[in-house]
Amino acid sequence: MDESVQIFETEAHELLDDMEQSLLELENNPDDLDHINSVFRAAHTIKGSSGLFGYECVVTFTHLVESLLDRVRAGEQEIVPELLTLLLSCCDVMAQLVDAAIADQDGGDDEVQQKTLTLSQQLNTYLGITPADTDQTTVTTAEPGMKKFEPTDIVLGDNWHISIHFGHDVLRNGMDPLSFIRYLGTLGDIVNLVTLWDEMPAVDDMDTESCYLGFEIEITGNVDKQAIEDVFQFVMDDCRLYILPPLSNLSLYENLIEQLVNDGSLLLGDILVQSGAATQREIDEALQHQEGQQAIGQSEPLGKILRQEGVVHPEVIEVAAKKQQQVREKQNLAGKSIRVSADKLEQLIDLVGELVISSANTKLLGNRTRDTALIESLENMSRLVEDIRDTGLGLRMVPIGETFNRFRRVVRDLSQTMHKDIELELSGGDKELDKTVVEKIGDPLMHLVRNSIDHGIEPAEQRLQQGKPGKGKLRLNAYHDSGTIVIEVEDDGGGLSREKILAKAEQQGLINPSQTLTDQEVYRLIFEPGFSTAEQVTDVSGRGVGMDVVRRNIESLRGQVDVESWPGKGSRFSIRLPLTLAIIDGFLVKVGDSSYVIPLDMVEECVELSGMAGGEQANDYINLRGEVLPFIRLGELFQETQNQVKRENIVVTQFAGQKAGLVVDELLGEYQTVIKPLSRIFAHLDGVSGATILGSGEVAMIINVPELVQQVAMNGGWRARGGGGLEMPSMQAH
Amino acid sequence: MSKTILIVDDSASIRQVVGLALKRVGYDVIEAGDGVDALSKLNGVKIHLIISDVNMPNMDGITFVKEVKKLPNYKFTPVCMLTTESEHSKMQEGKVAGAKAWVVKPFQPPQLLDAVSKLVLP
Amino acid sequence: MSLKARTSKGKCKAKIEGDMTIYTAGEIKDKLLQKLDGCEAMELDLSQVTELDTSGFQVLALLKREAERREKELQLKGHGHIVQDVFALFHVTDQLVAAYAEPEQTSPGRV
Repeated sequence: MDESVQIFETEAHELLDDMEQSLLELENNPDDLDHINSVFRAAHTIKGSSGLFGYECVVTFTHLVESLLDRVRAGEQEIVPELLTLLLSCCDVMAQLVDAAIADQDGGDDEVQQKTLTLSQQLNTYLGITPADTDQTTVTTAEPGMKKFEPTDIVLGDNWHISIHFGHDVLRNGMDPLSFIRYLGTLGDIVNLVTLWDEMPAVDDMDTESCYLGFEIEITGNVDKQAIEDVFQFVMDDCRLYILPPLSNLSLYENLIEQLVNDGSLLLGDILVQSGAATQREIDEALQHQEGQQAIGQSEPLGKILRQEGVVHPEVIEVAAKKQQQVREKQNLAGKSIRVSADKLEQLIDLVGELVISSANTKLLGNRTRDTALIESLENMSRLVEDIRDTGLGLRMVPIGETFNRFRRVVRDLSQTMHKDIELELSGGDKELDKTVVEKIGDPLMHLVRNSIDHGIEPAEQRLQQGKPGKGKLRLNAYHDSGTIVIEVEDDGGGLSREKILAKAEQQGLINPSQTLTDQEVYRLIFEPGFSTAEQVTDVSGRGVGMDVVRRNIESLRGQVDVESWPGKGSRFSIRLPLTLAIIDGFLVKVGDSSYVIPLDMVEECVELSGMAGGEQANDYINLRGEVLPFIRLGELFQETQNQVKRENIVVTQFAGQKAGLVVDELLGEYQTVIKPLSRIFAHLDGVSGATILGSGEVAMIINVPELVQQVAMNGGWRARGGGGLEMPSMQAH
Repeated sequence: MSKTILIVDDSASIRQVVGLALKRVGYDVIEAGDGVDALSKLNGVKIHLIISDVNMPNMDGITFVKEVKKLPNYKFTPVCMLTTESEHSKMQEGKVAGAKAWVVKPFQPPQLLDAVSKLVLP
Repeated sequence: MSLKARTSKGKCKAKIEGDMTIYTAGEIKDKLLQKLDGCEAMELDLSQVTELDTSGFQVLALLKREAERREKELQLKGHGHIVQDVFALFHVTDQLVAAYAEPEQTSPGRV
């Protein structure tokens, strides 16, 4: 064998192997451009080199494959399973053809020839070439007068259908259908055309200056509806024109319409025009028709008229109508709202905050006067102030849905990068929370979502082995729960591995091997700094920096993050956040000489400590109606001066299902609290989440209940952490 | 057999550019500077398309089109008006007179050729 | 435009020379129909047609329909590239030509 032929053989088979591999990859990721390109490249190179060796049959067949791939590459042909099956068969036949050609039998034996023919026909169908058309081309070149006529009984999926009937006057106006049709042929290939003259009257009535022709045309090519309509621009007033897009464009239109989130496009007609499914003229005519009907007391929806007139495929109208509905709903909301700059709003909220404090102070002073009328009036006022506060805060509330929606793309892109098939489910998008919270929750959420895609959901093969559906599921959910919003990121992946976490935690020195931990406690270890269990470091969730950052971010929002996991079934991260950062309903208590505020929505009840058994008190827990309630003394925690108090009280707080008692000296009652953020120096004080200024001008610290509850619940008391003794900076009101 | 196009415009440069573009793709071109001049060119020679400006001295485009429609041998000749956006009413007037095609000024040769090829086969 | 026709033994041999356009179509229509009346079969030579527009084409379509209606044979032949182009563009070659007879491949000017 000639050396160069040997090289060709090796090269061709390598390329065909590549092609096959890429086609298989495309099966999983139909949109992967790299694979589409490499398939195209393979076919292209084989065609080129076969030509060099004069292997005509290889060239001819590969050319068809290449043409189809070119359309795939250009996005004109969608990748569907049948197409891949066809291309894989083509790949096989190409190998056979190459072998046959090398063995000096170009075209192969009968079997190969038969296969080549069958596949060529299938390829032609995709390319929109009918056998009749192929004949025509050949005959035209040889004998121009011998064109074969094939009636259009098959409407090919990729063809535009144009139906045009010219008005009687077009010829008199100098307009000739011949020119328009010739011009149309420059836009795309006229696959089929039927000239109709059945409107031509009998001999005597036939006026040679009048036009009686109609045409049914199938055209294929990269054209849009407007371009086709423009061909007939000059006879538009004097013809009946219907343009039906290719059936294969249906999904394209559906996608286009889906993407049209243009607030202006409220009208069904506009939506159809913008997506290219209908032209402005068609819509205008249908609207006129609609008006005409209204004039005689009938009314039909635009969509129905368009359908009847055969202008637009019914499926497209349906999608457009649905989109219209969505836009309308959105606009209804938008219609009732006005834009206000965030600064103005911020200012208002600030003032409302001051008003709340000032009203609390006034109420306090008023109470001292024991003037009933005044007190009553102040009661009224403070109720109104409360309403203003609620309404004011409501102004800043935005639904979390928008944040959720951003993750559609993230999940799609990421799952592709990771070669995983993942479905994103969103719920609770209508739940509202403070704008500032929404803005800051994006990053932590992103991290959790990435984590779930990267580490949570297993590759499809693994899932199928475990009897799970190949397609993974990721769920984002939000709901309100006792003054907080809970955002969940849930996946149906493998869940957290207790063993791996424990091993890693021991290795990192986070825990002592002798410690017995519940599953919950183990899972929480992943939020410890520097913890990462991914065996494979990927570019998605990175190395090491992980859950601890998420926890820190969320805690800075006065929130909490928790994780639940079910081995083999999945895991759920829950972020619990306050609805707003600005104002809370607080419960004012006195410890030593200082006042503290406990967020009211976390206060369960207050009980007297003095009545409890002494032994229990020493162990920092009490028996509360048969339940063990751990508690801490705020006085000790914050090193307040120990005043002799008649009776100590325990404020029973709960957070995320866990309870803890806070021992205080005195209960002062409910108090509306405007949170003043602590300056950076104090931002990470344990046990405190902020400060507020009381009506009297005194500063009160706001207790970080979630933190305390967690510490108390985990360690059976604050002291177990080696704690107590936090340096409290002395504070003065401004 | 190539087709013949009559260009009627008072601007010599437009006639020049349009004429060149049309000749390049194979049309024969006859030029006229206004309506009167153009009518004098309709003297038995076969014309397949008239491209006419609207605003011209001596005889404007609309009047010219009306005159063309009176000539038995030319009344069915397609007329393409060169209009500007602001001349919308003129364009309507032209359409009524029988000039059903139009190209809006300013235009590039390809736009004109596009319109021309819809009207007459090269 | 001129139409030359000679009828013998019921068969009319006709030939159109010049333009078949909207300016001449009316005249051609009348003459052709008149000739069709006086014959059983018609052979129409289009080789000398110098221009064919939609109006002219419609006359041919009308003639064809009329011949069919009256069950007379109509054979269009000798069409040059001008006529061929129009027939090809309208996808009517089969209907108007091939259905009747194998057309002679005649180039314009050679009849």
